[in-house]
Amino acid sequence: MMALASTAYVLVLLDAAFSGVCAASGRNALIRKRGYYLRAMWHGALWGQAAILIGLLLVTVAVQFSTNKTQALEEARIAGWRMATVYSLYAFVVMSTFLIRAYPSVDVRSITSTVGFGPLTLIRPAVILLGIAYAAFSSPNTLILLAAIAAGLMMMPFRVFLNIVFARMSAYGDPCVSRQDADTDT
Amino acid sequence: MPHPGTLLEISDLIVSFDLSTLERIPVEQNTVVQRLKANGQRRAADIVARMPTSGKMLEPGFVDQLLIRVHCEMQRLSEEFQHGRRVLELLAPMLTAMREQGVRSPLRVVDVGCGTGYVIRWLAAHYSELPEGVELLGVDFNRALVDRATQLAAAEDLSCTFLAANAFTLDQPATIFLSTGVIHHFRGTDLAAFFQQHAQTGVQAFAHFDFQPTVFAPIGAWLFHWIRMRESLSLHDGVVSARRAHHATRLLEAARAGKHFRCGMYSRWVTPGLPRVMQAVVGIRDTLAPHFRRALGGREARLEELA
Repeated sequence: MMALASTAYVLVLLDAAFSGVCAASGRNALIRKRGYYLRAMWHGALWGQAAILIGLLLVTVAVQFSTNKTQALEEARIAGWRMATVYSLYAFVVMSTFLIRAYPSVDVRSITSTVGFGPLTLIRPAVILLGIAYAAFSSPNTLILLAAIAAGLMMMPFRVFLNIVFARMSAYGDPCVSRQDADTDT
Repeated sequence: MPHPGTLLEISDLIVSFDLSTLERIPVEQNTVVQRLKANGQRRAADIVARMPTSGKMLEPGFVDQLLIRVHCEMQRLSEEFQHGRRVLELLAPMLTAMREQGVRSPLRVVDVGCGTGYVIRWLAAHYSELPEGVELLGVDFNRALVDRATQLAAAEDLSCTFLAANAFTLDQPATIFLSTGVIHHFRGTDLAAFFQQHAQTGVQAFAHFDFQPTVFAPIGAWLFHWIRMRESLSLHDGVVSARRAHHATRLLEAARAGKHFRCGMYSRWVTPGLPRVMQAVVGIRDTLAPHFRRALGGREARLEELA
């Protein structure tokens, strides 16, 4: 169970951090902004902690209210691994694209943007649904299934939520008002 | 559905300037809305119809702030497609060729239609990769965008200048003209007229980058902008820009019409059959052409025939 919890934690943390970058992108027109994006990843990851806590709470409540707690816990473990399998594959592809993008070539980086990150961002909601569907095929009890659906679906509007939050944060406001974003290298 | 070449961009219609004084000319909302509708662009017309007005005219302050936000969003495209690095890879050999041929300093690089000045600011941030004695200047008709470019450059202590002016009538003329994502705005005879204006004393070369109109461009542009843009204007104009992009033959025909420069296309293909997102039409004075080719080094193969 610890291995599953750790895997799920890392996956949500990664997704939340990259969601932070997505929410921060296009808000700052400075050139040197590595620090800006690192801060966005950090803020995304912090909000991700809340998502992790809610997910944990949902599973705990589902197990507690199940008639057979031991069986419910086992069903939650199986459903959780199924979801983690799908999301790990997606995370592997995303991280591989980042590795490819690290190659210092204008062409390689352009291609990773168009045929890599674009489609990967587009299919993210479908991947979330696929994970839930795969978990549902393990036939858990209704409460565990509902918890899996709720935990998975919670990540769907996470980027929209971060967009709204970042739009209100001065750190992601007009860089000409504050010079704090100009203090880092390229 | 209008032909791609006749599509209109909202950002071209919601601001207008007197080309002699560069004073802002008020724009009537209904005129723009009707023009877009008549062109079959109902979604674009709806976007303009939602903009606030003063009387019948579009609210200039709102339009300025909107365009600043749109340029900020669109900078993502420049960042992800490495526009700064892309321009530098072509600009540096041009400047090297000029140095070798004794073109006098300062070598003034002028970005035509710079907007909020991403490329010029990027070059200024990587100034050490340029030869000595280079001046970086961004020029745009829109004072609000130029002011924002100046603020952004000041925020990072970048050594570059921005002017609200006509790039072709500057007091101190350019050595190199460049642009990114601008030339598709010139349609019909305006395109040849644009290139004709490069033929002034002191101008040694030009490089104009724009989307390459491949079969993949419209869907690629839609996908890119749909995922990343928040402003509906960014999404609309971003996709239309890619659809309106000129073919290489059209660009070369217009660029070569003046016979003042040797012109060719640069960087169209990654490998045969795999097109690059951006292409560049390049022009260089006859005496500099062989030195430029040599200075390109390993990238020389990307430069097609200079004629």
